[in-house]
Amino acid sequence: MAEDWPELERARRKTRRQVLLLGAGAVGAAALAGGLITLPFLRRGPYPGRPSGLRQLGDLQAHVLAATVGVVLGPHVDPDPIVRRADESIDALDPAMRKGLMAAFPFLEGSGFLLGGRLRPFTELSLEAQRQVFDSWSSSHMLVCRQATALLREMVLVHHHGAEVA
Amino acid sequence: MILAGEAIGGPLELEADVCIVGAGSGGAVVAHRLSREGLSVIALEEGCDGGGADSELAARATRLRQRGWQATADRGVEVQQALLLGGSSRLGSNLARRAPAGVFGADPGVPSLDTEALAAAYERVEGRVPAGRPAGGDPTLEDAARSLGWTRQRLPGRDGDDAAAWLGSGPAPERSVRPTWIRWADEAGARLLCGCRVEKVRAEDAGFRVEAVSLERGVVRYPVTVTAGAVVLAAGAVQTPALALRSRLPDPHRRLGQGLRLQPTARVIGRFDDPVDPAGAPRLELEIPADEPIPDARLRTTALLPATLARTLPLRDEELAEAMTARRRLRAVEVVLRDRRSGRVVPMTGTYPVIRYELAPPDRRRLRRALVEAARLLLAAGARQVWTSHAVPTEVRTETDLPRIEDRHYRSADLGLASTTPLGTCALAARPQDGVTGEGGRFHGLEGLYVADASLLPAAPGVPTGHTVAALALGVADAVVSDRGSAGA
Repeated sequence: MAEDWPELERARRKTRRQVLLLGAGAVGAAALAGGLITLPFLRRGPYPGRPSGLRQLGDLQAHVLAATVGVVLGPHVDPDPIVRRADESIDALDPAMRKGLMAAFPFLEGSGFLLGGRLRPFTELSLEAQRQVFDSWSSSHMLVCRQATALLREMVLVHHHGAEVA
Repeated sequence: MILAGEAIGGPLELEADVCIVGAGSGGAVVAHRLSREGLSVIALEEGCDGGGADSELAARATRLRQRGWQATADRGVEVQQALLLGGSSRLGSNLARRAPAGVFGADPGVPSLDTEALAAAYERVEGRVPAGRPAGGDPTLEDAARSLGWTRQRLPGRDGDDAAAWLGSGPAPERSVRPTWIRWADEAGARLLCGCRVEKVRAEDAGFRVEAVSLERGVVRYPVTVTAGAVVLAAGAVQTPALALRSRLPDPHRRLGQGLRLQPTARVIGRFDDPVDPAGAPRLELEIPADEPIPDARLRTTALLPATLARTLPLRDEELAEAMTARRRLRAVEVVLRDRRSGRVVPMTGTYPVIRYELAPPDRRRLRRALVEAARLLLAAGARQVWTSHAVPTEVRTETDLPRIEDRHYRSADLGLASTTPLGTCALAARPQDGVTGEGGRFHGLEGLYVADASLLPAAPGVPTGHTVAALALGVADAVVSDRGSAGA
């Protein structure tokens, strides 16, 4: 390998020199500087202190996703593994894509009053009421409603059935 | 000489005669051919081998861009692009299909797109990776198709008829690009750096400077710079124009990123009484009857992975669980559309490009009619229920229900389409005002820059593009050698 890639040793020497000159902390910054254009791609680290250990999904998102599991797969399916796997997937996404996906959660949870005449958040409705909301939004004339429900349904199905051996 | 980006311990500076961006069906062929000519070659590929994909979810996570969540801006078409050393040839069951004669026009203006020139190029590719007929058959659907008066599709091949080879990780992984062209390029002395994303290509006085970053589990680590006399862009029809636009490469006629075709697919799923879909069943390709032709639409059977299948079924709760438990009773037929109207790729700063695309009304009509025929086929084969893959599916149970599929109005975002073969964003054309590249994949207006991927294709061929890309890539390699001269010479 070293014969094929002689430049590698030079790269390592460069890093060692930087360590000596700048200290270890600055090396990370120097390495990052090389990819400044792509800084938005960087993942956020683990979010300590969250009881569930989820990195991206907050309480609200986790609850909405768990409720969607009930609507799509039924109340007999444990939502926790699906929520965990979805969190891992979302965590690895490019930020713009992540933002788009994450927007579906609060939208479904909080837009009921404005768009559906509901007074309570989605997650506080009964399963039957949640199903009615989901069905009406799935075929709503508003694109944003259809897309939000389609995304959440897809997320649940991918992270449930996708975990099976292909 | 394949190096993973995570093995790089600091900022890396490399030099080569030719730098290739992307190691799929185009880049790997060029890398092999140029290395054999004695040129020093460095290929940079964002994906790696994507190991450990023992489930559909893991495969999405390790083998697909954006973990399989990439889609057009309106989410009407899911665009699945490989993030792998070997590109899309390692996804699913891509077929090595020759493009039908004349599909790029009677006079495409670029010699390498002439039917005869393409046939010769296909011969060269098949000389290295032999094409064979798919084994076996699909008696249930073949009988149903025969009862409807349909014929099995025959596409041009080496023997003058159905010369399809199974490629990909499913039926014949040994024929994918990874164990063939990449291995041969490696043996011929090409240096391949995977896990390395190219950010910009800058033209300099005596060549090019390719700026990239190494990645470790998707996180940026170190800058990688390649100084090269020539650059071949082979990152696919979405990433190549995005990179070129980001790099502000010359585009006086604003053709870069335009002309995007997706060859979208839609599905119908039929539920049968008995198991009908054994795993790994060979794909059946069908022509829709000649007395009522639907131009540019083709049907094929397809084996769907569990999550993909579940997402297409309009069921939930116990019904969904029951259908998925008995999923061997489900059979999918896919409609592949040779789309005419085009979309475009829009680069975004610091993030993935946006894909803007909308199916034209004539294409939609063709799609609806083809879905009707696909449903008819499943009903003829004995399906009790058939569903379309629309966001809100249409269900049919008998022939008399079929018009429902055609009558129902769907918006673009609800069509539930998928694409694995984006193309056409750096199209070949004789004149710069008509396309981005000329003969040999030469970039109009910038000497030493070439394109060798599906973005070269000026029209959708209606078949998987990998084989045509490999054939055209040989021509690109010839152009590089002719422009630079081989090291031996």
